[in-house]
Amino acid sequence: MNEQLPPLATFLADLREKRGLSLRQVERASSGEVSNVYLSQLENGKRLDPHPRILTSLARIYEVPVRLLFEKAGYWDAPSADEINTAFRQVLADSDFQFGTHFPSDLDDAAKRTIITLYERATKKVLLQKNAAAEL
Amino acid sequence: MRPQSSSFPPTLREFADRFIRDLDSHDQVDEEDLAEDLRSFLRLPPFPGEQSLRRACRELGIVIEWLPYGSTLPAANTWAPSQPPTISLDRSLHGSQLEQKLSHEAREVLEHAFHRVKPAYRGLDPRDNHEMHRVSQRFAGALLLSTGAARMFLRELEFDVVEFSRLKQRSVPSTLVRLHELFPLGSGADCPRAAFWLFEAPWALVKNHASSFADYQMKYWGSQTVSRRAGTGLSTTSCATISCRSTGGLYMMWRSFHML
Repeated sequence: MNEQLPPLATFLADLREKRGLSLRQVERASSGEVSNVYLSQLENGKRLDPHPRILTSLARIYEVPVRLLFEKAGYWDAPSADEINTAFRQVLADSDFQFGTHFPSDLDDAAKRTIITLYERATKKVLLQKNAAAEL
Repeated sequence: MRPQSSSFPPTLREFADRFIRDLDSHDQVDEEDLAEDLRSFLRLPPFPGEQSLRRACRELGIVIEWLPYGSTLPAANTWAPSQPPTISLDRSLHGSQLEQKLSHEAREVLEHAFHRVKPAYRGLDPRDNHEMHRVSQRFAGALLLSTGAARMFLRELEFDVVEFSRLKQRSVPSTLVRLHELFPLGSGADCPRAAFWLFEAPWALVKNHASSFADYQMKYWGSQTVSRRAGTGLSTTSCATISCRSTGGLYMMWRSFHML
């Protein structure tokens, strides 16, 4: 069943479950902006077009970057492999920035994106525009 | 919130300077010595837990924070200009997993510190996972299971890997790897020996409980001392079950082949 649900639906349901929150608790945390009925519809895939303000509110409650919810909703494309690799090369070229990872082999794109995010967080530079929006 | 700190915390600088002063390259760095020096410098116990490790990082001026949500990495470390070194951990880590990752990343921060305190030092590049990963794993094992105390306890327990892991709250596979280093073949230890193979699945699958048998790749193998009890009383399947429970993702196989 879950395989047929849109990515945003399963993602939101997963986030709420991991946070141990009920639908009504999320409604209260959003000061009524996200009603429990509406959130249930989002999680069940019955509503597909949440207003960006709703996603921003949910991102705050679940403590996740807004960009992730925007990407899951299909409002933004995730950065391409080329964009990630270009940004990652810029991180590597910055000899003042050191990093290491708990990763047994070459970094994949997702891991590179994490390093880019950490770089942006530490240096306040913006390498991926879509990451910058995460600070909304 | 990040504490106000210089880019090179003084305690970390002092330790790095003291340790690397007479060494010219990473080939001369013995991970056992490094772990014991750090333990002594920071007064860490022989089997440090999460609180001790967090305190050690705090004293070294290393900030610990969570990785951004959506990361597929279990842990990472960064050191930016005008910022203290930072270890970032996946939010789902806990217990022995967290302790192992924290120790692993601390080793890489130390390598950065060696480079900074002694530019002529021919060290490892922590961005090169192929080499640094192995070294950091070895250091983590040595820091978490002190050489002398671990040898003594293992002997007292008649090399019962499973019991030792339970008592010291370490995973069975990590204990087995450490055992391999503490009692290598030819060390004369009077105990049974076995061959073992450790398999690991990608972290992103493990943490989401989505790994299947086909996702596991062999990560480590060796022949090692194991307890007579564990070697004969537990089947391969039960060992694997124990290790999967204790690590959440590391699958272990072993087979006794020579009982001394």
